Amino acid sequence: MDSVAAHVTSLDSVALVEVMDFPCSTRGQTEIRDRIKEKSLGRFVVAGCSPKTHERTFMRVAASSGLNRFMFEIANIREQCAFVHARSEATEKAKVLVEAATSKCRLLSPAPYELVPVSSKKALVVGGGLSAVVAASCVSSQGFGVILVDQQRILDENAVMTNRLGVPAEYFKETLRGLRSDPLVRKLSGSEVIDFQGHPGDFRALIRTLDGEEDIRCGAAILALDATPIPSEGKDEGLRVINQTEFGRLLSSRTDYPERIVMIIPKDSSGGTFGRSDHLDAITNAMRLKVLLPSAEVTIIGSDVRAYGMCELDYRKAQECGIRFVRCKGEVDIQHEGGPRVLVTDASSEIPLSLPADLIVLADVLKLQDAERLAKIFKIPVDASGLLIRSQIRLEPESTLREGVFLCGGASGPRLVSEELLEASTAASQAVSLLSSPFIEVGGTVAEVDPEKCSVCLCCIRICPYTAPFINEDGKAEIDIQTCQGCGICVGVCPSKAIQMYGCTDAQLDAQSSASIRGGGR
Amino acid sequence: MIIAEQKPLEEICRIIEGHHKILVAGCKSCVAICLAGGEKEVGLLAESLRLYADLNDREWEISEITVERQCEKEWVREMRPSVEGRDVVISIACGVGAQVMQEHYPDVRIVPGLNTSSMGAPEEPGIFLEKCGGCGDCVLHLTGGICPIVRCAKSLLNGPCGGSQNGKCEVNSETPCAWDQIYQSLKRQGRVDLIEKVIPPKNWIPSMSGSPRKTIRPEAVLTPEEKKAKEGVD
Amino acid sequence: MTDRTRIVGYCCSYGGYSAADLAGVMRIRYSSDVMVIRVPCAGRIDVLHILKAFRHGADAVFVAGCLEKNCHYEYGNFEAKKRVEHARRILSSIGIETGRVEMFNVASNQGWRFPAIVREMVSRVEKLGPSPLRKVVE
Repeated sequence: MDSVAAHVTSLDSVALVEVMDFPCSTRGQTEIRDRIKEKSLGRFVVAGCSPKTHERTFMRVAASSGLNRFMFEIANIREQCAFVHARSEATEKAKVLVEAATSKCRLLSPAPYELVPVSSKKALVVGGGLSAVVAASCVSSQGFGVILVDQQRILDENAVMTNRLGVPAEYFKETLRGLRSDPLVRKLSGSEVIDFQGHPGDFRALIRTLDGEEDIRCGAAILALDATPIPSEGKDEGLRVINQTEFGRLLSSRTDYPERIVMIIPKDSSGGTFGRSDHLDAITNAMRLKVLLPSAEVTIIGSDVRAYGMCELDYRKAQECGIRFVRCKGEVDIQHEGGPRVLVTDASSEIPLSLPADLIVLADVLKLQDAERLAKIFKIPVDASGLLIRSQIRLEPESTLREGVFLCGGASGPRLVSEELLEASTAASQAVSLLSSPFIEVGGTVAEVDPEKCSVCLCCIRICPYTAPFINEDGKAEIDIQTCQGCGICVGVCPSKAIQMYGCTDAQLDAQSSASIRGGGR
Repeated sequence: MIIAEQKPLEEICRIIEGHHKILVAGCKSCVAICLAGGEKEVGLLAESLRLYADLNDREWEISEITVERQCEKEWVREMRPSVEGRDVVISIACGVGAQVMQEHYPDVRIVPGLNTSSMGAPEEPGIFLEKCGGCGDCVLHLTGGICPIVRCAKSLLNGPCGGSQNGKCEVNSETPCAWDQIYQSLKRQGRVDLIEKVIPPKNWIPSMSGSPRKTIRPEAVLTPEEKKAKEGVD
Repeated sequence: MTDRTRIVGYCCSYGGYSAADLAGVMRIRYSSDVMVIRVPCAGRIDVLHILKAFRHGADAVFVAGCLEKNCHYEYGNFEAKKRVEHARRILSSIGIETGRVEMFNVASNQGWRFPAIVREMVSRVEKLGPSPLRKVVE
């Protein structure tokens, strides 16, 4: 370290070099703070481990030392140097890395940072099904107002419950009852969101209600869209074909049940446009039928059986009840001469089977209601299959690229009911976190347009994934720092070099690249 | 806006052969927007030339400048400190800018870095399509808002030629037939009657062929008295 | 200007840079010829950065962004890819071998890939030789 320190001391504008054991420790941080204050330093470089792990720590150090929290640079001489190179090479490279970080640091300027008040403490929940109900109820249970908007009649027990299998009935009835009389939840049935603008903490939505258009304000929004099964009732030459949801309804409402049922689960039940609960739905319904009509003959055909988690127990019980599972090989055919039959080849034995049937039940095909339109209004990107995209699956699963807008329900893909309940309450708690803070911090390493240089070519507006740039009153492009996510794509695209971003300007990158290539003092 | 494209680097290098002090001059206007001559492109061309020079032993000293509009003398005049001492300027403004620069710096060689092609509009980011040919005698009111001069490969004035197939031009199967588009547009507007209106053979005098067109707005031209008064101020 | 090989890698925070960090955690060794420069998104890079790196004396330049369709900022990696292509076209007109610049897509959990990328670029420089500009830059 000493030779690195020696090299760095010799660089321009370096006032002080210190070798410390753990700059990121509390003691280390205090020492840095003290030195900065003692010597009235304006910026610092930390040569240590990855900025990915320690950026926040040093932002706090900068802030508490009286500096703008972005006035430092970290040279990664651990994960990308000491850990991966032989000792002498690592030392030489460390010199260059610190030199490069120093070159960049010299050119840093204080980044704009604002505290924007969260002016609306309400959450907008869009949707009328299971997820919407749970999300709304969670938000209001924390004491925050909810505006619940759905195109259908909200809190219609029948609509919510019989639409999806596996809904825990009692829990549900209670939640619905609670919501109906909850003063914190404003219910707008038969309504839809037609416009959505603003910033987290202060959104404005335009809602078309049965009584006309209404402007509402909210601090956060939750898109709790449910995928509902497409009705598929039909006949294949006199043999009735329905889907699992319709079968479930049949079991609840009728008293004469068909004797011989064949359920077919499509090969690609990998969760594309089909639900994830195909097998669970089949098993649940088959068991219900067996209870109502013990003599019924039920066969479930599929290329495999996916009974997630605890449903393995149901799968075993189903087999114990006499429900047959056929792992099919090849196509499944329906024949009518001599009575309707399903023809399938059993994969393990390769024996062709002929199963007489009174009713065929297919898996639900789920469709997301209104997703595309809402995605456009809320400016959430949609993937190739029309599902809304989440931001970071592992770290912020319910967030979208649009800060302050959260997702739950089937909006970003098919879910099991248990997963939906979990996600709805997670989305609600994320919304509540946002609503409960007095301020939101915005800014930092954001992009900024120099209006003098702007050609108003619209390139930045067209390319930004977050719609942060806009044309301001002076007719020039401007980046909304509350929306800018600091990716720098617009900086790269601007044909007039009118945009730079804090913490990664062209000059800084050039200084880093020059020092990286030529540095080291050899 | 004016659409232009950069000349191939090899051609530019040939053009400036033998020169030493080179200025690359860009424009913030149309050419920046069609991604050919804005400050970024100036930087790119300059850097490319420097790399070429280093690699091929050329004694080139390259500097850069971009102005608001290279067709306006006020801005071109402001470039003086950058132009002074240069023996060639590569203008990557449109042909207009390059010529205005030459008028203001008669002793310095001004060479074009772009091929200016047409007046057009972006179809989508990065794709620019010619729309107007500057014929000086617009008939868009008769053709449902679609220019038969540049959007028809043959500049026909009264309907498609025999080569129009399935709404596409026989020159290129991806190019829509302008007259098909004209018909569809008039149909949508309920003005198919206009197709029957014969457009007589075009008067090409107001157009490209002939001397440079001069357009005068008499109310804006300074009177001799005004000019005299300004002389004191300028 | 150093007399040693220098390869510059512009690595995005969530893709290339994270993969490089993971390679470190996994203690996988790779050549110290590579100097990583961190950018928030590969889409921040423009052709000028690549050209300037060569003028400073780099023997090769790569851009490491997130896997396609998995860019943390949606599609910055596609932008980067287009710009790397553009850089290649320019380098070709200038007379610098296009193999010296490359675009890679790597996920943050692919620690093993970062050293593989480094090996690839190092081997290209070995084959192509040092940058043709080296004799000129002082």
